[in-house]
Amino acid sequence: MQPKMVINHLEFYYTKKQALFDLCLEVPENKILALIGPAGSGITTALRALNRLYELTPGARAAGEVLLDGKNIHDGDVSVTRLRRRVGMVFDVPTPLPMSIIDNVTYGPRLQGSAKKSKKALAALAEQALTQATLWDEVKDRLNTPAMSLSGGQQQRLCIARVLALRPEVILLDRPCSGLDPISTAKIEDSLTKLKQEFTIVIAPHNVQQAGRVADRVAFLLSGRLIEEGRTAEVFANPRDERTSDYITGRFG
Amino acid sequence: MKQAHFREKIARVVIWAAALLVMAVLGAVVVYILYKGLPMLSWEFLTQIPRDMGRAGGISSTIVGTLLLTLVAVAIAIPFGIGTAFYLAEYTRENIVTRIIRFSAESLAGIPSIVYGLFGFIFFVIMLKLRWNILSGALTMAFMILPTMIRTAEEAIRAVPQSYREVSFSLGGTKWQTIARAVFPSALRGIANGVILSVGRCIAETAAVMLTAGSALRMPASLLSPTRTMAVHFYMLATEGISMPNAYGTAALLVILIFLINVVANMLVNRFVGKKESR
Amino acid sequence: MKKFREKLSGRIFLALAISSVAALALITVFILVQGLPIIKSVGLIDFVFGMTWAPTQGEFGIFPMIVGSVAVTLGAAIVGVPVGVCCAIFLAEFAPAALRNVFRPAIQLLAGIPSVVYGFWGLLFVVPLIRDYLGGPGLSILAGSIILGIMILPTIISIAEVSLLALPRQYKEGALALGMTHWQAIKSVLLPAAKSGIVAAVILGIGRAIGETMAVIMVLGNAVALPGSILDPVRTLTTNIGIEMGYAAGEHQQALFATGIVLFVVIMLLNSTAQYITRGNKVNRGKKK
Repeated sequence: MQPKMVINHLEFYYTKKQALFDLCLEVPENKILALIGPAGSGITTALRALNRLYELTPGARAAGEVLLDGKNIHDGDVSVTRLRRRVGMVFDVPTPLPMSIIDNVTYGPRLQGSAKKSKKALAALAEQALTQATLWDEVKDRLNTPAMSLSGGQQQRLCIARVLALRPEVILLDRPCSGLDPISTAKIEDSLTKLKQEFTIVIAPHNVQQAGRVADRVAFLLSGRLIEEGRTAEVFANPRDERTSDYITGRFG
Repeated sequence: MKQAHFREKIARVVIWAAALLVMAVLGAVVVYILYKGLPMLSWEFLTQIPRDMGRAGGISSTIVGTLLLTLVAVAIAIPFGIGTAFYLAEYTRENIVTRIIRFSAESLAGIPSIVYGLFGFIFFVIMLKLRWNILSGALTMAFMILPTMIRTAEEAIRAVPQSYREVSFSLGGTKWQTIARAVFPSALRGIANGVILSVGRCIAETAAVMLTAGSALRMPASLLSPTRTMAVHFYMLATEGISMPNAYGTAALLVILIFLINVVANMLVNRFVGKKESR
Repeated sequence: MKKFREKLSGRIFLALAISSVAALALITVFILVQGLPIIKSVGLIDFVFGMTWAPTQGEFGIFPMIVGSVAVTLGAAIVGVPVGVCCAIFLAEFAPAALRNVFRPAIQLLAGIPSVVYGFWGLLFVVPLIRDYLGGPGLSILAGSIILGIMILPTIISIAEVSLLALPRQYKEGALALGMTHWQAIKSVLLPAAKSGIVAAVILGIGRAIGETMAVIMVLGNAVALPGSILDPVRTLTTNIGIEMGYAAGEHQQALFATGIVLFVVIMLLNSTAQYITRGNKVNRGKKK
């Protein structure tokens, strides 16, 4: 099967400092790809390069290709807002906007001016997204309460639902469980394995174990360079590179 | 150890005393004004125009003049002040130009109101031949509150967490959508505080308004009519010894007006923001 | 449609910003253009240090008024700063919640009361007290200092309180965990940490005091002469403009604008100092992280 996204010789700079070096990576469709590596390896940078969110950072600059369905996302005729709807993102800390639960979930769809959706359609969309994020049962009776009143784990699932409501093709998750308790983490991991049937997922797990639990493939980055990439089970059982095995077995990072 | 506790006690006494002193002094001002002025406030006082230089009659024309002048000044300053703040905070990266704008806004915010009065008097009243009227006064006040409005609004916009913007962009929001739907509602409270502050300054200003809006006691017929605001009226009544009771009544009404504006504005903001925000 | 709206909104914000900048520049340039000629013809030194202000006879020396402004402002700082800072500490650290909820709106209200009202109150209470118990005309530097000291309280209290409240909770908890008393924690940890904010509060308060016009017109006596004691009347830079603006013309008017320039420069210096102090602190905090 053709990969959903392809990263081709991506070089990335923050002003003068280079963060990614000649990164080449394929994102397989309907799979979960985990980017692992110690802090400062360029993983967040790589994720933000996939939906061009890095453009918000002053001085950030990318060279090389990032293909989505074979089309370079940096091409002049690519609408960046449309790209970001196709490639959704969940952040490392839960980031509900200061509005009600339902308004949070429908924030993305409501922005699409061309397809002004009826209240009913939006409600249906929200229910579907919240259900997929395994949050519906917990919030269905208080959709109009402020999102800030939810617990941390619920907030993060709300953020996932908010992305799902866009019906994206790819979902990027940047350490989505880093601040959460084990039960919330398990819930999110559960929903991820279900979601991959419909979506392509790239996750930066907050530890190696999570990569082992959810990912089909892992890519190990170190200091902005791809060290190795492969099926999770293979990489974990027989890492080809010594640094990979050191990292997986917890000798550093 | 004992000494430390002794000092703790002394410090507590001093600090409590300072706070009570502040309350007592400030309370004395307000209570005195209200004590002397409240009995003056009658329906006639509020609804009749001043007669005999303000010795008799009410102060209705000065109330209307104050409100009109304030309204026009704030209406002029709001779009420019808030628009500039959004431009500075959202549309430019830090560079020499933004720094110059910010520096001049901060400097001009501290310039004495009398200097604005001087400027408004020569520029609007004399050079542009607008004469003394509500429009001249309002334009002068708009210039005066603009720097404060830019500063407070920009601070409020910058205080909005960056994550709100990232979320909105990551969900496919355009810049305008992000500003209008994610940033603005969160910054509204701070922006509103700046506006309230400006309204208060317009109502309270005396020197600059006297120089530009005139001191006519007639009921203003249009924005081109000269007027006398309540603060100016109070100043004239009090310093020229025209009518102490009427001066107290005007001052009391000013205090009440400012109090009401604070309360109402806080309520409005709470109502609007409270619905969307939990905290 | 969407793209158009994007472009339009950006353009509108840019246009508003440019207009604002133009307005700010207009005031600055206007005041300079009006005031600089007279400074040039009189000479900067003679203008600033000249002892005689007789505008109708072509004598433009503002030194007595500079002394007046400095004296009254210093006095206001001596009266207002200690009390204001203590009150801010009270609100941030000692006040029971109920009291705090009364204090804050009260201070907000007091910041909004017209300066003429304060001036009038000073004329009724402070001036007679000084005249009866300390001698002199009562209209004096002392009266002005007391009134201005009161008027700058809201500014000082609110800004200093905010900077105290902005400190991370750990500072205080850490200090208390080391066995300090509450006051020791405030004195040796919290106040130093909030120093820049408090200094900025003081500077902005001073800026307000320098700029105040109407209140001091009423209580200062407005004599253009070097004061011999704090019981003597003086005239400040601002009151000079306020008093003479109504009838000034020609060179006299230019001289008032020139007074405005002097005020402008003083305020700008004060604000830059305040900004420099607060900025420096922010940078430091950033580094500590």
